[in-house]
Amino acid sequence: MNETSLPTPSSRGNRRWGTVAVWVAVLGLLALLGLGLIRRQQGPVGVGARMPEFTLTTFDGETIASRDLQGKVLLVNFWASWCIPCEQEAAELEQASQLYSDDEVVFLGVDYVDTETEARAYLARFGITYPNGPDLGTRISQAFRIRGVPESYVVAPDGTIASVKIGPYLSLQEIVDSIEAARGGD
Amino acid sequence: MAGLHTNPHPERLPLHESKLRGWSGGAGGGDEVPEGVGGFRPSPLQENPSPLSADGRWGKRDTWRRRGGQGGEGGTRVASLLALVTVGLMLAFSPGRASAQEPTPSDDEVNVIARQLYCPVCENVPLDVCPTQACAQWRATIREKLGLGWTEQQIKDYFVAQYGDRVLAAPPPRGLNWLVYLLPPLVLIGGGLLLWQTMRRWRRAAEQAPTPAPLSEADPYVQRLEEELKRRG
Repeated sequence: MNETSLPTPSSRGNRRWGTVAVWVAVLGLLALLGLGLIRRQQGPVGVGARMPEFTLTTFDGETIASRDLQGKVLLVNFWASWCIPCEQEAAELEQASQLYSDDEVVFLGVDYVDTETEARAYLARFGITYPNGPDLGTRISQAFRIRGVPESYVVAPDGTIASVKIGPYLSLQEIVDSIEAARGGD
Repeated sequence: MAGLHTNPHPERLPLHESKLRGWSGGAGGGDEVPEGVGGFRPSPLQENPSPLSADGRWGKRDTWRRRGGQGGEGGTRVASLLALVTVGLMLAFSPGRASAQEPTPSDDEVNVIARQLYCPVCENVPLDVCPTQACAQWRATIREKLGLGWTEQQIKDYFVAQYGDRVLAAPPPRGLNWLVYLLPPLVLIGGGLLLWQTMRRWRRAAEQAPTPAPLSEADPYVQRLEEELKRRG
């Protein structure tokens, strides 16, 4: 091989920088992918964790901020009109909300990716009177990292999650028990 | 064609009947062919609804025979052609070509927007083909908004506000979403450059590779080979 075929120092340096840039890009992408996967695998907000802060605008136009509910037991129920299992617990949730009308226990319904017409029809069908509103931009469900509907979170007065129910409550008693447990932890 | 099966004008004849009558013509005269078809007038066959002519023979064959006898085969063909054209024209402009009323806005109009959106609760299913009840509700929402005069962009913005960016088939170019738009062309350009550099290096290496020396007559192996070839040949 003659002299001219040898790479010059500048071309060698360029190549090295190019290699470094490619590796940085690849590692950056892998890091992003890893973060996304970790976030996806995290699962819902667990018992003992702080309740994520959120603001719910109800179908009646009322704005409810979770921060304003500190000191109360809060039951956040995620539902949708197209969700058949949600129907199993709808009437019981309303009954429970009637049992706890002392203002120390607050029920909130978060309507997950739904259409307003069907959501209102659903609320009317089950005679639900406690505050309900759409999860605009799925911000609340993302904050709670829900995996589906129905899911319910009972929050103790200190703002920590007292219990998580994945799937529908099976009876009124189950709802009452979870609320009482949250109250007892006060 | 659906229009052929329903005849909202019972005073007119369905196509197959009028054509048959025109061809057969009963009396069999060449001039009667367009007349029977085009005029929707009672043809002689209305008294004899069979495709057979009055004398019991197939009208069409009978007509051919008679025309042949008159030596007017070419004229008959022209007449037949005219009849077909007339039938075609009448079909095209017939008010009987009614079809089912499309809902307003139509499914096509709804689907133009629906295929740009994804089902918020299913994995990677465009809204226009999603079979779930939830998707049917969302398509109904699109129809409702279109009916209210909303534009395509307004409807898409509404869906994003309700369900987040993930409902969009193409993510909005902001934040990390830029990677989706920048990475493919960058990888393509980078790959092209790499390929070009590699090929250039290969070509240069091939050019600079030492060429094999021509076989020398003085090479003992060549001499032996030559001798061996001579001896065998």
